[in-house]
Amino acid sequence: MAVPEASDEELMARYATDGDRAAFEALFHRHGPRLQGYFRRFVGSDPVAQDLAQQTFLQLHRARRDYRLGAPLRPWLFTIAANLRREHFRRNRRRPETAYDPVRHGVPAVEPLASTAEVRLLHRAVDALPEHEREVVVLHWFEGLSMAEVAAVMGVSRSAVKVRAHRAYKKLRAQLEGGP
Amino acid sequence: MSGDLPVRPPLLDAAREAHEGAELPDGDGLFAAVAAETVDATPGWRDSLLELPTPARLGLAATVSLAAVLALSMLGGVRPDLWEGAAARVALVAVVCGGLGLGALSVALRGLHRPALGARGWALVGLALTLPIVWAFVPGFWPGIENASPAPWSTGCLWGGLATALAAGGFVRLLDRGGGWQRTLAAAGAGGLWAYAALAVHCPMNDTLHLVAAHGLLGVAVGSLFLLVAARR
Repeated sequence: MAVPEASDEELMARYATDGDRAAFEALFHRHGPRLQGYFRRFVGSDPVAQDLAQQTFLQLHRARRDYRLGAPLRPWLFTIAANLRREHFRRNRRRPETAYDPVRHGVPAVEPLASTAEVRLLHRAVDALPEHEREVVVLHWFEGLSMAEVAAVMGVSRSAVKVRAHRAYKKLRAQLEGGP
Repeated sequence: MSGDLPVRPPLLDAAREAHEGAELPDGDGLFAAVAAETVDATPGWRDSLLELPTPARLGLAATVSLAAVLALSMLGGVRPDLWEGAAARVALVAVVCGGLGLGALSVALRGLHRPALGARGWALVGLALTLPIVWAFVPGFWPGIENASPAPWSTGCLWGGLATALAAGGFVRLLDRGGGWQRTLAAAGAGGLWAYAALAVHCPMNDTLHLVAAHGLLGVAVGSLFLLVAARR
């Protein structure tokens, strides 16, 4: 019988309490790609996304003693990521930010299957959403966070997240299916 | 989870599958770079401060700030009219500035794992920076001593207050894991408020110009300095 893989929360508990390097590394390899994908959707640059993903783990390390044992790790991690992203935009607001464009930038290596024209079109449609709606779609759909977790990450109510999700999916459907 | 979705474009499934299959190019190399700054690094004194739990960082910042305020009060002495009618107002200033300063401190040291405070945080920061200025204009609040020594243009309060606000606010900055304008100005606001309270214990002047320039603008001055330093980095 296969040994069940340690959960995020178990790994984080080992890291927070014992400084277990292997647990930290496992968390990095498990969530690093997702974080890079999350950042790329907003900053449109692989090197910047990679740097921000690394910074997220640096902040995770600094905040490890704030981690409440057993608390879901992913919302915690994505809250750090969202705060770093906002700070990045604030620092760079004078410079033009280019949203991720899979046609112009090419499909990144971290998403090897995202090569069909339709999926590219979807990425474009997601990237065309207003930032507060895009964040809901990315966190809820791509990252699999629940509505309550998305609300916790964004610091808004669950109903506000639902409204944003509804508007975002309506726009996506209109763009992708040629609807109203 | 999908039950929560009001509308679900089918293509999202394909995109999500692609996303889930993702791997970092040179993941081991990237982790080595992160590990060199975290688990494999020997923490310096600043790292040790930053890695303290947030309640410990808050407690430490409050303790150091209190020490700076007490130092200014002891070095500067107590206003001569403290027990002749000014005690209640000075106590009110101390309680309001202390409480608001703690609020600003909590904004300055808020963990990055918690959602940004946004407008609420900015409101608190704005209040922390402007209340000491506004207070100088409250009619009849400061009984004080007309033309008391030092003269209204004396800079003693300014330098002492600046030193206190810089010490308190600067220490908060050392404990800040995240940076950003809101945190930076919150640290300055907290330092300015506590220096303002210490000066209220020390200085009997009721001249509005003196109260604004030497007492009230400390947080704004320290905040400007912090932003200047941050911008040059």
